[in-house]
Amino acid sequence: MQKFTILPDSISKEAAVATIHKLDSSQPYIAERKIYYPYQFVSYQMKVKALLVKEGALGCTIDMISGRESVIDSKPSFERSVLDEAERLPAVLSKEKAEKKAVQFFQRHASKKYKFLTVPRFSLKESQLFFRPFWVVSSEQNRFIVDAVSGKFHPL
Amino acid sequence: MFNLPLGTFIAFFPWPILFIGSAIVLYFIFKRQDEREEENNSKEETS
Amino acid sequence: MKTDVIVFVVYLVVLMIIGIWFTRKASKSSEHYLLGNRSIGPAVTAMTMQSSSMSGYMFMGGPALAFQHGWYALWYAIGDAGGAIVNLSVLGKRMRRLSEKLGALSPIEYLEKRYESPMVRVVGSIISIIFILAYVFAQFIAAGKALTQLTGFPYELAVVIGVSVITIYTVAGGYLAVVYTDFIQGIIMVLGVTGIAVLALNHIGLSELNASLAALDPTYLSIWGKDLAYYGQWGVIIGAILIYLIGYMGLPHVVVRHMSMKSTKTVKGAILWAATWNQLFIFIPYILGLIGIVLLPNLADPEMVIPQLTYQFFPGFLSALLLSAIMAAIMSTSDSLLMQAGTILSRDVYQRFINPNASEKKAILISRLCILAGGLIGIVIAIYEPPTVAALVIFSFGVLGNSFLVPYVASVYSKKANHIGTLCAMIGGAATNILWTLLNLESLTAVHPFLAGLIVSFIGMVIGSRFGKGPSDKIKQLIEEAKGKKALPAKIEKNIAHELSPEANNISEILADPSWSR
Repeated sequence: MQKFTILPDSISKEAAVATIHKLDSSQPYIAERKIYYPYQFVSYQMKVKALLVKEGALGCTIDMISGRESVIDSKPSFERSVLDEAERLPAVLSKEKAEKKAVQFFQRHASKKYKFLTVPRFSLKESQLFFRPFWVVSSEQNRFIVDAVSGKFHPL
Repeated sequence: MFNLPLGTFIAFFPWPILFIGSAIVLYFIFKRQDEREEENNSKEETS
Repeated sequence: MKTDVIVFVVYLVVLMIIGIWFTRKASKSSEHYLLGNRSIGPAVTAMTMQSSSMSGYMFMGGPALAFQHGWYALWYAIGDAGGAIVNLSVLGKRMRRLSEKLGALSPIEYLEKRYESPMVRVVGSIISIIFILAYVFAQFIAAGKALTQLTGFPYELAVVIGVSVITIYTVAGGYLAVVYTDFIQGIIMVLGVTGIAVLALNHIGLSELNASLAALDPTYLSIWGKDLAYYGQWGVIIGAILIYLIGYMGLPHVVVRHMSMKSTKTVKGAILWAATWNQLFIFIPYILGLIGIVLLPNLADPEMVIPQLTYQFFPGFLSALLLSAIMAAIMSTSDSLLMQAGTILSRDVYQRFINPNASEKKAILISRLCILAGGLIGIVIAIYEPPTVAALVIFSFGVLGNSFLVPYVASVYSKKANHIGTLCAMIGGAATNILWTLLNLESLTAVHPFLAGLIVSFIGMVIGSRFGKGPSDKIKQLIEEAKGKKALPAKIEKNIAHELSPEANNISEILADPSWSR
């Protein structure tokens, strides 16, 4: 069995069901399954050179299926774990594509602040594929994913 | 009023009051929505 | 004159020092500095929006309209005073939900994804770049005029200096904590203009002003314009109100603010602040234009009302400070507009269509060269064939509004609107406004160019959407969801973590795929 990098979950199966049930007690909910969603954690060292030299590390995660970027403040702590093929979604994007997207993402944000006449330089610090666990919680009528790390949810 | 013809006065002066009024109404609509959200959140934490 | 120049230079330097100081302070966490100040409250948001979007027009264009037409010009002010409220309440929520579901970041990208056609992006990019640049040209002309007053240089020289300063300031401005300097400038501008208004109204009260206007020409007081030029022409008046009342919903760089608004809690405050703020501030420049009719009867260029009144009512030093603030505000508007054009060029055109594999560096180089070319054309136009600031702003604002208003509103309110309809609406709206303005059809038909463009754009959307493929089922469903109708219990609906929607979409697709689930 292959080992993967994952985010450790802090929401148990029961807690995930309880999250939804608390808000809608009209029908019974069960946790159908657990699913692992792929992301790439990418961090860059940024340097802007001109009158003032600014340096800093920036990190973001790239959704490896839709390619959506989100900023994160600090590096998440990872674990290694064995994942069954049936419980993890396959990544659609390649590592290189994700890293490129991250640079573009930072570039866009940087250019908003630094205006168009300076180009910040970016050097890759870290790049890591990881999986985030979600609980699929459902009743007869509704179906949700519950983020097993934060407890946030969204209907399917 | 203000030595303006009546038509001009009526055409221009009510607008600021109208806008402020609608902004206040909208403010309270949004505020109620926000409060409901917060209420739900706090219930979640305590229970 | 010499001291005025010194004041101006000192003002810029002080601004820069403030900016650098804030940058240092913020550099402890460069992520936060770089990736958006999410801690900015509604008051500052409203203030910076105002000072950065209105400057050139507010100080030159608005007063000039009032100076020329009398009270009629207030129709424009009324629309403007309500614009933010309309914009936030009509588009705000739905568009934020839909753009999130579509995963769109830029306003043009949003149109492409909603209408499922790259052509929409091409046409949208071209129209927005051209008319955002036209908007910048208006700022250049305003900068030239303000500098002429400040330094006494001839206008041509002032334009060249002004544009050069804008460029240099933009480079240096990159290091400023822009938000804070904008805030400070906003305060100075508002205090300054309010100060002029207080002194001027002290000198000549509103009743007295109207009496004097009536003595000069009673039609100044009419809602139909001086000499009753627009008598009974509701098509012109409605257009004049609508342009700023709803036109904001068609400006890509304004729409993006609502798309990216983080919290609904900022929205309610921002509505209240913007509304109050607008009522206090937007009418003042127009009133000053009216005062100019009485106090500055020999004024050659109506756009110079505020600079002239400043020198009339304030001692030299203060007036120089005020003009510096105006100048600086014009500069900050110009550079953020230029920035916007550059981003659209590099992201929506070059990297998307011409060279998708281009390095970030190359893309930026290209966009800079284009911006430089745009700037040079701007200088040439500003010197050889300078239209008035008001005319240019109303024109470019109107064309942008006519092209994008209908597509943006339809994108969240109609499930029939498709890419053909959008292309018809964008091209039809823009072309109508341009032709109407260039051929001066307004005087012929008694219909304002903005109103004409709006009608054509709307018809284009309705008819165009009958042809070609309709929106896909997926888009239809997303629009339905963006309405915010509650299929789920209210409590659940309120607590949904919307940032998870791409994940949810992908997971539900894959769970539905029989070949995957085992």
